Amino acid sequence: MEDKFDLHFIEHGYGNRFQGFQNLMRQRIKEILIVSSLYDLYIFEEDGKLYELIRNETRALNLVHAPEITRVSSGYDALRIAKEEKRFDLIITTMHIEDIDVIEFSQKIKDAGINVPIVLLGYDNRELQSIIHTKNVSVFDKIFIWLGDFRIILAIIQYFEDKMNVDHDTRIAGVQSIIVVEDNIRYYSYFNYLIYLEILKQTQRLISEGINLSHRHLRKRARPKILFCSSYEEAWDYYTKYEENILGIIADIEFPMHGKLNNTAGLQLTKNIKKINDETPILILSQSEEYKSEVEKLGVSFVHKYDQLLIEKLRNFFNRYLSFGNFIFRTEDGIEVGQARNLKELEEKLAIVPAESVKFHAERNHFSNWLKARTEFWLAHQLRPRKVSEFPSIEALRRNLIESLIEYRQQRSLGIIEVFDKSTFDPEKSFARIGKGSIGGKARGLGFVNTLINNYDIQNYFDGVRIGIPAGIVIASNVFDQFLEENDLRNFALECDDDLEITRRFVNAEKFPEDIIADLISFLEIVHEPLAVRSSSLLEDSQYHPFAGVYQTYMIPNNQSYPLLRLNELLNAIKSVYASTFYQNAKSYIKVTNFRSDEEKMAVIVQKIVGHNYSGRFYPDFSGVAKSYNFYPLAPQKATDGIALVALGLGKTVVDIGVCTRFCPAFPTDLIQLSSVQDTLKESQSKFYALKMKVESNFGKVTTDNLIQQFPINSAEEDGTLKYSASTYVPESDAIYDGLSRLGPRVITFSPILKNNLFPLPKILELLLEMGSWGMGTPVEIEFAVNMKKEPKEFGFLQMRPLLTRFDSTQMNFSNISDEKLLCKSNSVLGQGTISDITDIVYVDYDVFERARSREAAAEISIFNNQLIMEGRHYLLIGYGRWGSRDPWLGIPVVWSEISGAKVIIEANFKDISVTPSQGTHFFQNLTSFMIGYFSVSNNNKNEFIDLEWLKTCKIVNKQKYVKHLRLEKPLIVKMNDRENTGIIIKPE
Amino acid sequence: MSEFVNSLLTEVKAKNPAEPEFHQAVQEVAESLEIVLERYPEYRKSKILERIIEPERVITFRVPWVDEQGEIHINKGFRIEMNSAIGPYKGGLRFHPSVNLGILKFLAFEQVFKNSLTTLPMGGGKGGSDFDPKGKSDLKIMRFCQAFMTELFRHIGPNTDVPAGDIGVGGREIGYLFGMYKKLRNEFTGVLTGKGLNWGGSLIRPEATGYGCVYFAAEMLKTKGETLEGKKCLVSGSGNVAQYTVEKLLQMGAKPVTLSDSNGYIYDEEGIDRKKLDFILELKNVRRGRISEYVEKYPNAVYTEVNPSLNYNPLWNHKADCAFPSATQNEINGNDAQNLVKNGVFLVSEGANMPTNIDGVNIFLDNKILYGPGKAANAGGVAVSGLEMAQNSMRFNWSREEVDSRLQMIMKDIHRNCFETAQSFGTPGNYVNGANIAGFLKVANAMMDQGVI
Amino acid sequence: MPEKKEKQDYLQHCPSCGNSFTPWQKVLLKVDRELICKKCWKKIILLPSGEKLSSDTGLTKKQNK
Repeated sequence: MEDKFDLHFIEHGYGNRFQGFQNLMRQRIKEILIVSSLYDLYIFEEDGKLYELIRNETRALNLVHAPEITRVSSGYDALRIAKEEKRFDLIITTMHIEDIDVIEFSQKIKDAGINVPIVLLGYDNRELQSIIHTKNVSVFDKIFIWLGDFRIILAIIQYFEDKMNVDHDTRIAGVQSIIVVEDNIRYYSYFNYLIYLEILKQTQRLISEGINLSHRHLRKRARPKILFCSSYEEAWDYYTKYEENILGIIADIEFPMHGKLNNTAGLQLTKNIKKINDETPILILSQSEEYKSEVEKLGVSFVHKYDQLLIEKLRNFFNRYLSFGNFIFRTEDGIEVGQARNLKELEEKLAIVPAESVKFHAERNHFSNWLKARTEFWLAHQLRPRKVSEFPSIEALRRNLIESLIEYRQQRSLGIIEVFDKSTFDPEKSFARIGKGSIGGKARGLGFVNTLINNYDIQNYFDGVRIGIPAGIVIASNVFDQFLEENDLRNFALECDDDLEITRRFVNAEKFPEDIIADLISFLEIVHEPLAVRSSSLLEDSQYHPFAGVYQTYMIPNNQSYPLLRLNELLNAIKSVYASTFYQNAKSYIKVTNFRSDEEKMAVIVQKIVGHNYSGRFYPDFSGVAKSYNFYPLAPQKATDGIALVALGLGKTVVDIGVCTRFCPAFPTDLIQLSSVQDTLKESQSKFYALKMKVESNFGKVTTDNLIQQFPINSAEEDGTLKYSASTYVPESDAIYDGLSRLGPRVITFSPILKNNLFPLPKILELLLEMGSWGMGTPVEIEFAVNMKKEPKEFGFLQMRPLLTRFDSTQMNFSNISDEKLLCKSNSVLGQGTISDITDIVYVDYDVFERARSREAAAEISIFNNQLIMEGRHYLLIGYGRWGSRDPWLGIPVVWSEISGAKVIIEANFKDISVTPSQGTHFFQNLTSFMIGYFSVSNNNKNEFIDLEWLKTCKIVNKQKYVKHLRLEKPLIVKMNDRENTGIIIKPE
Repeated sequence: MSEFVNSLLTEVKAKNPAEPEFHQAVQEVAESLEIVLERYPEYRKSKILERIIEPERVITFRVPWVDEQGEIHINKGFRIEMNSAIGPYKGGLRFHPSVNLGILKFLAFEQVFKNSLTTLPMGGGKGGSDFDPKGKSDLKIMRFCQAFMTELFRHIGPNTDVPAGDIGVGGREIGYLFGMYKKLRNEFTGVLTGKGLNWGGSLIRPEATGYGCVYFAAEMLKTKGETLEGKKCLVSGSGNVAQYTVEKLLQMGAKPVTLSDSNGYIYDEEGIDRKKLDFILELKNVRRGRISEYVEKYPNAVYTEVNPSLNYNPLWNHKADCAFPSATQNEINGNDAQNLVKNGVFLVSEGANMPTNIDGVNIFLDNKILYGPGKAANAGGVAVSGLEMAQNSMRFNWSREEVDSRLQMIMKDIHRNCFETAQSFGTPGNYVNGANIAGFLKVANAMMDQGVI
Repeated sequence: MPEKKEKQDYLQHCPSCGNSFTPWQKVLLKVDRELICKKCWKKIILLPSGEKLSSDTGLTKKQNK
């Protein structure tokens, strides 16, 4: 049973993986109905309000749920409430109910179909005994006696909860149980709670370090259950049902068997259990010493019920036999050879104890039990009883056990950014921290991504591809502070306004925290590949301030033969990043936010660059960014399908130049840029960025990213990296063919990947974008780079940040603005947000314009555009047909530069021709890059219109034959709702 | 405007409402033909003009197709077979959401004269669909083309109607269309032009317009007893047309000194020689860089950036003999034309479509410049389609040189045609009139010969 | 891996309303063994034996988590 399912899911983790433990103890007693006379309640509440007492106790025990208690004194009231409200999980009734006999009442409850356990809570033992012996008390699910401690309520709850959940929890996760057999009501009313408390405390103690608080709460649900029973049959039933998961048995020696009280029932039980499993720990309790020696002869423990040291002895029993104590390594003969207090020690000791001890414990399931007591179910499963015969040797078994522990430790730490440790740092995937302080936004994002990827097993989700973040370290922000202080640079940097000077002083600063240098040296001993040194600061990547690209990134080849040179290069890069905190650019940027430069905390990420060295050029086969939300979707895309930009070589191409291939991951073959040969040639990448690996000694010189150079795409062909991204242009055929099989100039189209699926890039991006936005709760943008040369291919996740949505599109409700107030309304709007500063309108006069004269109109618009640009004024552009159309009959044939000053563009139908909106490539790309609002108005649509008559009432500043320039006193308000692609333009008041 | 033309136009507008492009086209042609109709009343009698403006056949059809996501689309398909008096219908297919009957009719109408001017036996036609190829995957385009051809194939044929490419129909689409035609008809014929080189296309296609433009210029010069040898030439643009214009100019001994792109232009006093041209080819076709990089390699040249505040283009303001506008429409306005004339330019041969605006044209004509309008001078591009058809019929592919020499012959014929026609209609040296009238006459006469059909 | 394929076969759609899952939802279901269908608001639980249970989360009436 345990083999069939994936125990991973119950391991701890972040987010939803809590649901693993949350699945345990599902059935709870949340609402209790107490039916008691006022006097009984008075007794219960002697120490204070029952409800509060319970609440406090719950809190003291660090339990999360305290039950709600409703009290009534009348049986009929109780019946009524229970029937009407149906919310109770438990009914506790005392002997004295106001208006009805307690048994009759309970029967009525059962008869009414109220399927809730009923507990009789007696007060006086004699009275209880008499009712038991004279009446039929089978209607009660259990009987307890009040011993003056309100905690009995908790014991009752625990009794039922464990009973209700034992089946499910054992099946799902192999949660352990302890069987307690006691028929004496008085005794068990006292004893049960004791045991419960003890188990709880022990479990709490043992839930290991390294897990956060809320997680601990949940793990408690995996504590061993206590199955109380009062007869041989019940006990036997439990035992045979949950045999493998029974931790141990605590039994009275005397309890009913075959319907009659038997004073050696306990012994019988013990014998029969031992026949099945000799090792099951058993503790027998008795009021007299009579059977002590017999019990001990059976090899089980004995304690006197009224022993003063009862609790102590119970505790010892738990520790020794129920795995709550240290793990004691023994040999078969019982000689102790080692002890382990926790997982780490277990791992250590496993390596050194004698082989026969390993064998002894392994075969008897000792490891598993010990781990389960600590709610480490996954490990318990790994270390489940194995026969040595399953392994070639005991040593092999030992190694297997140790490896499981190591794997577990690694798994658990994936997602937590651990402190850098040279001995455990894996240059393929580790991400660790150096120094103290904050790790900054970027590093946190990376850590989070790492967690998601590892906890949801995404690394190998796609065959042949490994998804992960590149290995690296974060130098936490206190190092930055220390550096500034030790070199007395802070004031200087804050005041200086010469970036070069700042850089020079920083790079030449002599002091650098020594412990950090030591770590860096260790790091460089392990990592010999090119490195990217990036900022990860407090103010960066914050949700509301677009800090992207304000601080510097440096890339270093890290390939010099002398380690000292490499260290120096790295230090220079780090110091340069520090310096960039104080560049003018950064300072002025920070001024706009509410932060101050001196508040900034700068951590630095040093990470391997994804890529391969192709004869001195280091670069990834391709890289890019992807956003999970696209403000300019083209049918059939939806905004939520997102958009991706990919380029050959380093991602700098995408960020700096913008010439790259755009595609929507959901529709990878619909490539608007490649619609015609001309468009493709014009708009595809012709150069790419790579890191130059040959570097002379740069000792003392400032390293900037001038080591990154541009190369023509022919170089990529030599390197063999073009085969993933290129197509060939054959001029004679006026066509572009996928791949490199024909002769001709190469064009970057990414057809091999997008059309021919050489690499599942669209699917990977689709999954990761969804994962990211799910994890962050907002649309996200991710940066990635891919190295196809590695085996498995490497998909490097470089960054994830929340996508800026500058405006709150939920406020875009237009229905309450009447049409008369609007200049324009459209259902085909692209763009988002509100623009409220436009006072100039350039529009083509509908009455004068003829399509035959569109070229002249274009020329006139160009003139107005240039004027307005020089005056620094944005404007609203209104015209007919398609803007930017090459065919003058279809629209006004402007080129982008002739209308680049427009902030919002309206395309309307013209008298006789209805035109579909221009989504022609270059024009359109500029629209999107410059975030120009776009309205398309069709007179076929009742909900769309443009009020041309109103334009005639506006003040004309300038006019030409077909085009007029208007100016308004007060600005127009343009609102665009990108989710619904609707928009309005409101006339000024 | 004569009364006749007036009434013709009124009728056209009435019979073809909501087709302003068509009205415009008819008006322009009719106005330039007034002189012919005056001289030869038999055309009026035979109602040639009324017949010519009415398409011989208009085929509209439904094109339903299913995409790879299982979605059904329905587009309209059109083929306007305008005039087949001098040869099978010939004209491109346009896939564009703006396509409708009116636009196609106007294009088909113009095509008749364009084709006639090439002196090759090609009638006029045009077709297409309102299908929008932008952003569609290869598979969608293929499915559409196949669906389109399943109807069109019964109306076309190598001796009936030979479509070609146009906006939205490039090498890829021609491939898909041809493949489907072949499947349906089970024959391999020259039913489409613009085919790939491996399967029936002709060599010299990308060069044809540029070469043709130069050949036309050479013919114009001959009329003045001149050659291109040693002539200083201003060339605009840096795409196909411009590149091959320069190449042919070099081959004919001329000295091209300028080239341009949307950012600016270069002026090389030393002249652009073969090596420099190769650099430009690599720069523009392979590296897709900017023309400004030319001066980095050849620092003696001068690069001037575009200045949008100017109302003239400084490229046309250099001392030179000939100008070859090969970039885009409306690149020569009145001021540019003045500058050209002022600088001694006495020949303009248009490689682009309508690069000179109406003011410029008038200035050229007034100053008796040797002005070869695009309609005639860039007909090389159209002519090579005819050459492709010819090779297909022969089932034989000519070599580059053969195609090139035939192209030259065709340009000579075109020139002669225009020249002589202009002469005989009293406007000697006015190639605009010559082109318009010559194109018309060939068709009109054939129609006269073939009876009222 | 054939095992993976089998799993993927039945992890595609909600058993009660047929709504197909996005790639990430499939991952969530596979790892957490339960998922709430965003269309019909039923909770799907994957039992160890591989069966799918769908139960009412009561979210069709209430609207909190």
